Amino acid sequence: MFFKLRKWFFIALFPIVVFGSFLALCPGDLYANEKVLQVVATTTTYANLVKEIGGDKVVLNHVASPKFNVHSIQPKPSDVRNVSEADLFAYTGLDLEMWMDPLVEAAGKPQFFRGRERSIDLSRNIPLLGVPTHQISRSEGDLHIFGNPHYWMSPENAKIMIQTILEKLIEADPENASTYEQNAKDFVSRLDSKIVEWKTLCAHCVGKEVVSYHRDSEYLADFLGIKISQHIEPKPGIPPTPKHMQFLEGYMKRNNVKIIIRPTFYPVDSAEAVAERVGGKTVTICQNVGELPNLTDYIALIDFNVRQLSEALKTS
Amino acid sequence: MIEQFFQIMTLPLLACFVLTGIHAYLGLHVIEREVIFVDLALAQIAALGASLALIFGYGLDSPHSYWLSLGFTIIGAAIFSLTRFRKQLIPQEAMIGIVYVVSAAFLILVLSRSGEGDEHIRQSLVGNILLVPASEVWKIFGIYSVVGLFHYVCRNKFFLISQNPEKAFRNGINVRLWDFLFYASFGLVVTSSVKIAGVLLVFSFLIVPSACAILFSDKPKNRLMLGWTIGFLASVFGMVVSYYLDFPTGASVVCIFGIILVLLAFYKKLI
Repeated sequence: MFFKLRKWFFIALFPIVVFGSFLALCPGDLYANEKVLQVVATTTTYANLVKEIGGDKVVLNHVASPKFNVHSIQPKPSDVRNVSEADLFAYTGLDLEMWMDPLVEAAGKPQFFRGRERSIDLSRNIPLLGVPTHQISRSEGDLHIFGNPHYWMSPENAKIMIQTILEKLIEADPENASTYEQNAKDFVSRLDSKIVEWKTLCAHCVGKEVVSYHRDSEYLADFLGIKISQHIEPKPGIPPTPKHMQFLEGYMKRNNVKIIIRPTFYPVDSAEAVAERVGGKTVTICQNVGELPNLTDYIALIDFNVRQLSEALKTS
Repeated sequence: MIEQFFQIMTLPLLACFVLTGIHAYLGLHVIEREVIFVDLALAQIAALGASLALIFGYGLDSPHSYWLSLGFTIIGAAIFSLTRFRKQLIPQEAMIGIVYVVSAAFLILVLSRSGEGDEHIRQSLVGNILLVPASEVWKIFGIYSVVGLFHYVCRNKFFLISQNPEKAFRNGINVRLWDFLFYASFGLVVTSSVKIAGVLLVFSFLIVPSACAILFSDKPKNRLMLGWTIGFLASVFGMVVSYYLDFPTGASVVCIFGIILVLLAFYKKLI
């Protein structure tokens, strides 16, 4: 037995040597710049918004890749490291990022907990949609008992978020306050002129109705005056029942609804199937910066979505 | 550099050591009994129990949810001990598979009636060892010590019914009862483990060390020592790979386990 164990030990030694040398060869910290604020945002969209205000005074990292559903992200060691080194932490709030509290705890940053001094809760002051009006009961309520968390999809809300980011950046780094204020002013004026453009582009959409796969486009629809009352998913993550599919088909035919909004990262056979049966089509709406290669910043993201909807509703 | 590694990876590594401690041992039983996927079935039935709390209007992190999941685990243990016969008509593996799919399907039905979607419950089956809080590590350390002690005290009976049930029947041991105690304590362990480490990682901790150890020894004691060594090495290398190559932690450990098994099989000239 022990003779065998010894041989076995040598085999085990091999990976030790390999990884040991790997450890030794690894470069140290790539940048240790103390002058800039380090900010971690949960999503690429927030990272982009903070960058618009912070400019070259901030370094941004994000946790969730835009290619995945932000609900079910598995943070990696680099995420823990980034959070532990950060000065500020920006997040959706409500209950969108369920991995956020364990991540902040693992990084040892109690100042990033919800509502604490170095956390940027972007939901502050946002007029939320989908807040349950009746007494909250889990057995009949929705996944999001605090309200629909996809509020960044409306550019009007982005202006509120910019204000929150601006205040927090100034609080953490008062020396550069004037730079931040100038950047915020510039960004909001760019956004304002785009808002006019988007409203014009979608003037023909006002009052029309679409069906959405997931409850993630209500704020965008609200901004453009489009109505959404039905969803393919009866509940987040639960596939539609036969009855629900049948109901949707009837509903869409009765009300002449032809367009179904689909996200990029779910398999949406059921959306395609319903669209086909009612002679309509699906239209892709993106949730985050970088979800498609050309969506390089927030304005490009909203621009893409507005054009998608404008185009789809023109033909219907 | 190395300081940072320990700053982030110490808790996950400690959690892995605790997991290795109990699972390398339980894995020996699981392999002897040829009930390889029993941990998945018990984890699934525990998740079903936890989700029932939603129907009654309690959250998944409420005590109600915890006790319901524990209760369902016990029911699962009862099913597995009641379906083992001296002359086996339906193989145990079939029962395990059935319990797994039926409780997974029930879970879908329950969730379709409850308010919350499946994100929360899926979280409880995936787990993320990287983010394990210190309190959880202490908690599982406590639970597993008690279970480990119980198994150590009753080791003769547990090994007899796992290795040679026929002899146990002949000796007049109440095999049903001891089977039930085995599955109940096993269920208590895996449901706690799955919550922090996820089904993939727990399965690896359970099966790979004992599968490797069986190649080298037939004495339970030596197998256990080897199993612990393998679990220890896989945990350490898994953490190193995950940290330096920035891979998801649980999956890294699982892959290292796979590599270790292949290397050992090479060594034994099995491949």
